[in-house]
Amino acid sequence: MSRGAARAVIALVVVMAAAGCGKSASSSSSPAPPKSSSLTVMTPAPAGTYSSPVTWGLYREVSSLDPIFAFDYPENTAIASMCDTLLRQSPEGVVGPGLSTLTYTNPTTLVFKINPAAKFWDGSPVTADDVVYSLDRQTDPKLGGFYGAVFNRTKSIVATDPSTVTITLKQADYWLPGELASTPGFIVEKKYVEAKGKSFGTVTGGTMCSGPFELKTWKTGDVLAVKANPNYWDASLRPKVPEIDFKAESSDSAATAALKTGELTGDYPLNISTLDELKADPNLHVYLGSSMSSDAFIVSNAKGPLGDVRVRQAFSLAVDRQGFINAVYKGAAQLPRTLANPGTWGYAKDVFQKAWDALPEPTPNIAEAKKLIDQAGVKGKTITLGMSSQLNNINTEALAFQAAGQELGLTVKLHSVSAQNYINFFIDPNARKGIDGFFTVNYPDYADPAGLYATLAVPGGSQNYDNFSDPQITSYMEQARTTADPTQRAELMVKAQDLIMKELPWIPVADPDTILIMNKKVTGPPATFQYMFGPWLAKLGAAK
Amino acid sequence: MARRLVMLVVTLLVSSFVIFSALYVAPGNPIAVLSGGRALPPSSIAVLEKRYHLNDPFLVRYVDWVKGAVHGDFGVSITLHEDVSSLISARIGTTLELVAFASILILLFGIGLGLLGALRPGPLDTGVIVITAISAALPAFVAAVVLQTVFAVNLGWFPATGNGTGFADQVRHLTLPAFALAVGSLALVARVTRASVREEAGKEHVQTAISRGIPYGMVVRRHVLRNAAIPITTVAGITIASLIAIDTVVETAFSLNGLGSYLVASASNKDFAVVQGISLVLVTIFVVINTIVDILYAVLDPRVKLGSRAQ
Amino acid sequence: MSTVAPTAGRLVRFSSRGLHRRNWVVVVCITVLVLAVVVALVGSMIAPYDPNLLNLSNAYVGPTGGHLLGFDPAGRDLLSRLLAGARTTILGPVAVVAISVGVGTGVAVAAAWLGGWFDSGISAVVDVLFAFPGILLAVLAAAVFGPSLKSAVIALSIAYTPYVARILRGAALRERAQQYVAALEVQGLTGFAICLRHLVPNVFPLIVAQATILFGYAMVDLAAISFLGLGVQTPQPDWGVMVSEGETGVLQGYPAESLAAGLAIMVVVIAVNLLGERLVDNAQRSSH
Repeated sequence: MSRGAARAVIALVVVMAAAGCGKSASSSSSPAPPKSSSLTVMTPAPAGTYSSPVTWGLYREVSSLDPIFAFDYPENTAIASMCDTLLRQSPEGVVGPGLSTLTYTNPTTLVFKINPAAKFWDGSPVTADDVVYSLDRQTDPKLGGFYGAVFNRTKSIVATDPSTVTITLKQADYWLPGELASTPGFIVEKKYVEAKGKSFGTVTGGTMCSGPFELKTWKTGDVLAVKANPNYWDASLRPKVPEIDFKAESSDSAATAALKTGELTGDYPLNISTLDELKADPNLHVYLGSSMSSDAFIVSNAKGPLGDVRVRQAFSLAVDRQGFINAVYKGAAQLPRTLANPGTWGYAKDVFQKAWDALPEPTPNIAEAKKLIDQAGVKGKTITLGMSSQLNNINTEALAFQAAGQELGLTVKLHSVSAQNYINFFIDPNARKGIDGFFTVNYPDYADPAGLYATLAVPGGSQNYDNFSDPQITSYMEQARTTADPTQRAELMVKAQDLIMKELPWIPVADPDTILIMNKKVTGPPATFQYMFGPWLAKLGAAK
Repeated sequence: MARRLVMLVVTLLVSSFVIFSALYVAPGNPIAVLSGGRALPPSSIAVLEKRYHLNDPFLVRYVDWVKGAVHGDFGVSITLHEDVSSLISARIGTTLELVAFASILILLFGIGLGLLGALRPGPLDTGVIVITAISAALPAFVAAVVLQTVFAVNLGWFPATGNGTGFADQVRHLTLPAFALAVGSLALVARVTRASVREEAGKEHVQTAISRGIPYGMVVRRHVLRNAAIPITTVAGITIASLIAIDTVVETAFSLNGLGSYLVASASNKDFAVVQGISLVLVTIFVVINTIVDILYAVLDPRVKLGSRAQ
Repeated sequence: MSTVAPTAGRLVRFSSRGLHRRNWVVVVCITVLVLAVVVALVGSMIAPYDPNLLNLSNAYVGPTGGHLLGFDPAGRDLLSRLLAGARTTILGPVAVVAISVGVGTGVAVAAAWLGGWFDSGISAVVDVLFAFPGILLAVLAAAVFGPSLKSAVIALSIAYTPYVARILRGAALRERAQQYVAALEVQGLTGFAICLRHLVPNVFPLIVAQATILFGYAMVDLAAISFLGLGVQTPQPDWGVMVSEGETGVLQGYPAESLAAGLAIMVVVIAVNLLGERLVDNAQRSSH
């Protein structure tokens, strides 16, 4: 018996060894793949209506449909299909009319006239009261919404007549229109929210909006289903699919398998390790578009070794960004000369492009990094990185930072939480206890580098976890916010950006592209980042 | 019979007590554990205190929890703000289907291989021994990887992950997981079957029947199998019960949306109410199956009186 | 794991073949196990490369140059990780077996000796503990104390103790009924002395056999718990963790990490199982 068993084991070993052959060796340095300039904005328009429900992938379950708590990809993707913003961002990132049009009476008085055709799903018109109520909720401290800081120059928001809202500012604020074309500007129905109370936005309470898709069913562990709203007030965006089922895919492999079998019709993955395989699949189209997101390391503890700017600069010089981009993004990202992604240049592109061209491409320089560590005198100290071993890109990123840190003579510990809990680093001070920083793929609310920098580089910013403060940066940003002329605003932003790239409150790792993967049976939506803020999934339809 | 039912109830009570008390064994105060260490607004804390009766004496809290559990109220998930009972009912189907599928495979292949080896000695028997030796050493998660590599990625006959929609598609999706779940356990059933059938076949009265000219098939059925059924049923039942625990591993490996994978996810999400609810459900199923096996054993073996101890 | 499992050796009778044919199997098994323990103790020192050194451009590359098994998804040398990972994979189960066999034997012998309400009480507790399969208890422990190797080891030890206790109680009862025990009592030895110096040594072959078989189960269970992410934590190179880390590779067509780690586990478990069966057989014979 045992002899036979031994023979069987040997056979098994041979089989497993044969199956386990890997790739052929590549050169030891990290070559940069040629940057494809073939970025798409809109995918080909659909030929007609698609008759079946479409399944759309998310990286985790939607936790809330309340816009004041929406600051991550799953929530925004779902809410943007159902709700309208006061103003709207086009797929190219240009801010224009949405539920309302905007006129300036003077630099501190903004008048929003609501489109009389705009209606909620229950047939009630969208009124000025609903708008005022929705915006007030964003700043109500009792509710604890995420976007309060956006309104810190607002003096009053008043319904001057049933279809007009006037916002008066303490000081000119040229960031506000962009914000109102984004998550802070989603409008919900006042009487519905009041009726649902605490359960609004949850599985039991649902939501009431005016968008091209209406909430149908929401079962956690299953799908969040939205059905077409044939009476959508914007006729150009009436859906050509009957239903979208949003489904959470627990891992790259689950998403890949689902896309290949057609179980998932489409997905906007932040990154997917099987990108090459998916590009080669005969049933799928893969599009890359410009993105507003930045892959970066957030420094959250100014009291630890990373509080010293030299240590941050040392890490920035030691991290193997190209290796990381090759491994995780498979080429769908570029080296970050600036923290803000070029996809955020929604105005004065030439000014930002000039600044980008003048900055060097970040390449590793270990010798220089070690010198900085010696100067800072932190050799042998310990830092702890917040991450999640369940999120493939963050796991790889953390390992890369750990390797860099160890090369510099520091001890780097990893503190892992589950994928579902990762969001707590952003909202819960308890979760940040004991760590020096954590990773993010972050983005501004609209196409403006200021949208991102304001959250992290000025005191009081919603993502400024270590109270980073540089009076010069703050001054440039405040001035920019008050400046009407886009070119001048851009020049002020560039000055602030130069300082941010020197002081590194966040350490940039990559500037990714938006990835859109769709089954060849459907087409239509944009391949740009604006899927997060506008009703662009309504462009989905049948390919033939 | 009554004694076994009493043991069942006592075991369930004690297990539920252990699961309930885990909340208080955990470091930190109960609110911190229930919230998984998250900072909560005061209104949410008040809700938790009220729901878990944290200002009442310990036993009162326990009784309330058990009463709630019996009525299907297991509390609320702190990450999804949803009733634990609805989270469980959405997933229990997958788990039960998977365990049932694997049980069928274990009975089919386990008993089948055992019979083959016992009744057809020689090279076939050696083959059976080799197969069971390997499968006994194959942990479920390694089997999962091997099956995924060979049958899903390389051959493409079955999907590698996911649940599937609709009955036929679900069966297809659960095939590889069911085999992964069954393969480690069927070895034991096969070996016990082979051993007890051989033992019975070698017994005097069987040899006598054969020498008297009674057809071999009838002898096997009437004498050998009936007596061999006792240990086989016992080990099969216990093996099936043990599937409950291994199921967590297989569900995770194949990204199935079942109770097992969700138990693991909520443990790593620090969603304590969900962990307690699912643990209670799984332990209950496990204990009930074991009790049924005990009773079946007593029923089948006339020598064992229903009132006597198992050992 | 079932209540029947530890007694499986009893039910399988090997036809009596020549002793010389069986010996080489035992030798091979013991060699494998000694090798495993040695690697567990010095693995990270004899590893050719740093198991934690990553180079993302080498992700998934197959065997090349000095890297006999190739690389894992983060570009770390697979062989080095396998050698370094032996430590937690092998020593964890050793701890589980030590605790559960130690406590289980002590409790069982005491129950068998003292009898009466103590015995009934222990038996009742043991019966109830059977309700918790090892993995479920470990998941609960991970939720309560946070996922770690320590919480998994303690949980499994608690879950395995009843099996040891039940088997050893039966054996201890049989020993107690022997003539020599009565003789020793008459001579004035205390119960404790009789148990420690005579009873336990006589059931020692059974203890060793059970410990060996349990080691196999503990190794698989602990690796499974680490695979679930609730035991040893990534990026530590435990074999169970490596099977889980390699999953993304499996679905992309690079199953090297998962298969290598899985195979390593299987080789040790097969060796332990074969050895354990022999020991159980010997224990049977020596007790009759």
